[in-house]
Amino acid sequence: MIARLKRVLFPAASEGIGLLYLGLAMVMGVVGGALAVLIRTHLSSTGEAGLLKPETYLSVVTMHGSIMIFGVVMPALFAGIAALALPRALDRGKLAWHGLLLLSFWLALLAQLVFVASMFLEAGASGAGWTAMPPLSALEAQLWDGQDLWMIAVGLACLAYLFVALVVARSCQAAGASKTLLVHSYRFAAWLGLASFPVMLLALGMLALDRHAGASFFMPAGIVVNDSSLAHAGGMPFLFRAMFLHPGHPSLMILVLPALGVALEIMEANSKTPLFGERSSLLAMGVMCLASLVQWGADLYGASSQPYGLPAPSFLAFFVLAGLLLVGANLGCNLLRCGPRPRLELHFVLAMVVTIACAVLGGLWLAAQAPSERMHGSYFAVGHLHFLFGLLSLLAIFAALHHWFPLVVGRRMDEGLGRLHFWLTFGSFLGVFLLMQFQGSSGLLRRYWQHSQYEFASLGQDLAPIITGLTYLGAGAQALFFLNLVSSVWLGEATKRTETP
Amino acid sequence: MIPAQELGILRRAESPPAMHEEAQHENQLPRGAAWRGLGAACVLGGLFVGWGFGHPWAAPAVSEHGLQLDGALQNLGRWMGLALCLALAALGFALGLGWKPKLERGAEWALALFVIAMVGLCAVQLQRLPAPVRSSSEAYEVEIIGQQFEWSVRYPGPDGVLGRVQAQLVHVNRNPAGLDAADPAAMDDVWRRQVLWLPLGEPCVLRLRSLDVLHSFNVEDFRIRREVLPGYPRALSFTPTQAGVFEMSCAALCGLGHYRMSGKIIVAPRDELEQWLAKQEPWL
Repeated sequence: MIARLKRVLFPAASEGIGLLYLGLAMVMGVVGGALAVLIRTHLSSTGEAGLLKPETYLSVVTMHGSIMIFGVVMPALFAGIAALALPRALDRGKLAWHGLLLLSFWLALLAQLVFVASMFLEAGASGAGWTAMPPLSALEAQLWDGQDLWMIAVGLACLAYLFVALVVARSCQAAGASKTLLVHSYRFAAWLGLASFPVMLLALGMLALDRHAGASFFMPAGIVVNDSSLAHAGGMPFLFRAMFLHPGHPSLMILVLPALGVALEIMEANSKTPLFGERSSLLAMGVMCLASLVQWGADLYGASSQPYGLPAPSFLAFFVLAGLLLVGANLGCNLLRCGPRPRLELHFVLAMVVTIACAVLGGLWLAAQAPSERMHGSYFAVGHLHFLFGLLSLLAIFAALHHWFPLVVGRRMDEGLGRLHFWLTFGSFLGVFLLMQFQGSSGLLRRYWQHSQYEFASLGQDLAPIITGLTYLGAGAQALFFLNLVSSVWLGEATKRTETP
Repeated sequence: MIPAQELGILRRAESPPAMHEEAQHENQLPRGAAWRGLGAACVLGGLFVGWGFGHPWAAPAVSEHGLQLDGALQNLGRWMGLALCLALAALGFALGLGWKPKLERGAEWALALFVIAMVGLCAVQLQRLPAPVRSSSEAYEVEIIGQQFEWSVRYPGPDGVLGRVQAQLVHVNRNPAGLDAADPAAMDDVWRRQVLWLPLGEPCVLRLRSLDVLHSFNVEDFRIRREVLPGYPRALSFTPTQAGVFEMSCAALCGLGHYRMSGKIIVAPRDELEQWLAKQEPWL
């Protein structure tokens, strides 16, 4: 018994670590999804006070974002699928540095435990948003010890994924010359991880010094809180934005590129002819990788956050959008070749193509200087970011789980239940985030405890009940997936092939 | 052993159940109809998206650049939706009628160039849209001060000059704006909470600063939103085109009271503004 537990918790194979990561992601997915349902329930609750208090609401919003990114999509897509699928794709038994990969899982698990623990603090979890901008996040008096725990959790998670990036980069490098697009996408993601996570750790360290050691990295002179002037001097708040966006944009690509790699891999596995657009997709992913590394500079100017009035070189964001759209178009062209009754994974790939189209459409608005000033800080940005690294990555995770399920269990997941889950999930979340973009066009602002004080976004507020209903539908549909997953372990159709062809 | 057994997840002594051939899926729908159906669904989707991006969700803009911005964005949204619809309709119906696209190397790079051209075209059009422009020196100047959790406004008095401020001098009752009494231009400045008067039809410059954390001065009707930092004052210029009362709010998370940083903006002809200002007491 103990030996079996040890074999599961400290697996000797990379696939085992991948399964641990996927299990972590599923548990945290329930937590993050519950927080999302809580947010929507609060926003649609009638009455003066609403369901949650203002500080609780901000904490829920912050935790939803942080847990979904660091606890669901990164473990599942970046770490889990990498450990599960890359050994076979690279034709090697195990990924490099197995011990480091195992350590990264335990660090990631610890990070999630710290996130959850911070929600039980008396003063509540961090309420500064998952972007944690100073000076708000650097004010020790105001913010909630939850902020310190949040920083510790994010730091641990970044460290864990830095180790994963090291392992993936090393494994891909040591492999032979011919690599599939899946391998390429993970390699790009790993390089981005190596470039970005250390900067994030540095930024968190500097923020911690500002909070507790009286440093002034991000705090300028003359801040007055509660009628007393703070002693800081000489810092720049937008330095944190730069240091956050420098890993921020690559982190998004870490969530997007593997999703694209998974989609391309699924297309390749499901077609007899070579993949259309292999080279252009590779080029597109490379461009996305490079452009996201320098996008922090453009975004810093473009988001009106710099005081010098300089025009925004936001064309870098357009490179990312063009690359994303090209990969989506290639996926679409490959889908043209599939038969009238495509497998379930191809449904997910088609949904990803539609999601890419929506993400690019919204992204164009947010990249150009004039519209972006209007759209940042509103629900348009919320809808767009959920399309880009929420829905896209989620669809990729589901597709990957369907695709590699036989590899692990030797059985296939149920198609009928899977189709039902797919349509409910995709239909509801597509509606939710598109309507959120329309809400943002009406001026509805994000991270607002209540909107009832203002009249200017009334059209957007009218859409809120529809969004809430669709959210309930989408969240509830995930139960179907868990049912499918669990029951297929024993009841699924047995198959000899290790991947659904 | 199947991988699950290897990994120790399933332990079964007996061999796995008998494998069987893949079930032959029956072609329940002829291929053409499926593509036409998908094409129709995509057309509807494209119409919906085009409608959504082109629909005026907010009240009409009441500033010069705002009107141009809205018009341009709505047009762009409608054209993009229409183009998307037409392209998808053509694709769906062509496939439905039996066209088999030849997907080979040349087509790959042609598609790549097409996509880059499309994104580039949109990018160029979007980058040309008007943002709040720098105004002339005769613009009407006021200072907006953001703090947790309200906006306040400092008007230059009869001398027309905003006086010097220092953050260290801020006191909630005696000197909420931190005015420096040593500066003669500061003696006649008027400070008011949450009420901003602006002259109709004239270019205005708002000097934005924050006393504590990051805020974002947001007036949806004027289509302006600009982040307000402590320690780094900045300017925002625009021209209101319609008289009335409008709302201001905060668009950057600034703490617990972020949602209630509201205020009133009154746009009126210049003489009405001067009359109101003359009745206000300077801070000293």
